[in-house]
Amino acid sequence: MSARLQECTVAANREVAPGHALVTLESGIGAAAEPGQFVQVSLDGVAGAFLPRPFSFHRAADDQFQLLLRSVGPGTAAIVATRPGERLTVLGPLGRGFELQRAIASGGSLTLVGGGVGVPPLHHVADFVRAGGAGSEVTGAKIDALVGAATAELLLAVDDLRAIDVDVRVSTDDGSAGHHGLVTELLHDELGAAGGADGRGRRPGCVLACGPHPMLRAVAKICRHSDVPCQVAMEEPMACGYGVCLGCAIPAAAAPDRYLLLCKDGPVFDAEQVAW
Amino acid sequence: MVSGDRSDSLATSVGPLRLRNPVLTASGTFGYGQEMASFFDVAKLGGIVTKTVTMRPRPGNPTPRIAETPAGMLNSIGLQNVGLDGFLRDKLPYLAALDTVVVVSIMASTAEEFGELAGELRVEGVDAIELNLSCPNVSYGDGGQHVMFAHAPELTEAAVAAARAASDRPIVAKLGPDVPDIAALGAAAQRGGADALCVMNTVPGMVIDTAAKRPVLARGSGGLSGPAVRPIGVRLVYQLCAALSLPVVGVGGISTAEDALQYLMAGAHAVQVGTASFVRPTAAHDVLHGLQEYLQDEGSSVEALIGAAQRKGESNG
Repeated sequence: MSARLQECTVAANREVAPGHALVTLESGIGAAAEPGQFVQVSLDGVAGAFLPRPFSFHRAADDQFQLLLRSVGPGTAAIVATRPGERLTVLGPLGRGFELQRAIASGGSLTLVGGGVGVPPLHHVADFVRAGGAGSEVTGAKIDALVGAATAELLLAVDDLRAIDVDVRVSTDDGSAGHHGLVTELLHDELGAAGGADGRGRRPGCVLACGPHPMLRAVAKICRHSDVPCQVAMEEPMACGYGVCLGCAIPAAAAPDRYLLLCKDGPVFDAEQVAW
Repeated sequence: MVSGDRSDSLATSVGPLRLRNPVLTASGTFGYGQEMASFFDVAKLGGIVTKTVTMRPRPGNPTPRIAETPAGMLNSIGLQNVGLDGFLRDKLPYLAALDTVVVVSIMASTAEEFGELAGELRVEGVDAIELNLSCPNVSYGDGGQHVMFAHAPELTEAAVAAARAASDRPIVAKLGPDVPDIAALGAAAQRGGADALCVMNTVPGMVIDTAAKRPVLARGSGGLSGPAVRPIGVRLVYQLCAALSLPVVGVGGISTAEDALQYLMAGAHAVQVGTASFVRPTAAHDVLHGLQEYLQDEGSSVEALIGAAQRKGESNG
């Protein structure tokens, strides 16, 4: 599926957490999008920004898609500040998404682990599976989500996930909601319990994770120890988004001087592909 | 005939290289052409300059490799590429089948190796060779000189002469901006037998992460590109064209037809669109389209515009 460059109209823009916007764009770009794939939003003309900004899909349908993003600089601030009717130039869908067939086939259930603004692609996964995108036989697959954030008000998409029958547990750095600590501790607890003597007896077929690099590294390690397959959606500074600039390279596990391109080989990788 | 007039008005030449229009792509910003084919008909361009090819595949530099800067970006990719064999086997067939000029950018660690590479590229589908003498993101220790080719006239001349001796294709020498006397480098390339010059490569620069108290790029410094560097490139082209008769291909910060016109009026015979393709994959196409409209509106031609600003300038800028 090749990417398209398209001017899209903002259909809605809603603040879903302090500094976070859920932006709905009218476009057919999302029609063929797979969870974990992304778009590049052009910032031509925005002072202080030059390169486009990559965002995973939060939700994608035939005639519109949603991005959930956090304002962290002039570029993202400009997108967060858009109003309905304004237009954004978008390139997508780009990259390789989660291998959901493999993930679900390998065990029947999914555990999603999202940190901070890493939740959108995981929401896309759940939304996509429930809508039958991964095949009608897995529409009702068991999906758990572990969602972490700095504070309760920054927990993203929790209600949306619960509304589509996802079992959500949350953690916060300050203890204002759920587990007081890291989301990776929830995962450790969950996989430990599943594998231990008093195990709840259910082991996820696959862990899908997105969040800050140290979190993903910890998730990959926990999954390896528990022998649970793990796919991670990663982020790196990126220029073109379609495999030409070679800027978004990450070291591959295969050899110390081998690189994977985040935009083309990823942004979703099997955790074992990455040199953590 | 209107259509005939229009295509003639865009035509240009860079030494022996005839181009149907003056818009090429800059090395390292357009892959090997095929990557861009889903965005527009790349054969409409005046030519395609490939990602730099080296004798052996190169893995590229450690990461992070890029950083955004005001009106531009810094890169330290380190010439990651598939190597000569991979290029000939996997990349050239697509390019060779296109009805446009194919310029293969090459880089080597010695003059002799430049000659070997140029010799190996005397094959169907390769229309010209661009010598990347000025990449700021690789070390130059292998050849024993520890100096970038384009920083020393004698190294530039030797590399060009080796390629010249090994190839019958037009040879374009790509120079960098961080030299005290660009004309001296251009003259050295001319002595070596270059058919044209390409000016300029990226401008060495650095961004520091103040929270981490270290450079953002893993390698420390990188090459600056984008609109921020355009005036530097325009001035270098202007100076070169005033000093030398060798045709120049202008590159640096071109993202619109207006930008391309500045280079042409400074004296460039053709231009390359680079980093703009990262921002908008159709950038080269859009520059060409804008030039076409400009020429139509003005009733002018590329040939008539080349060096137009030179004729008015009294000094060497």
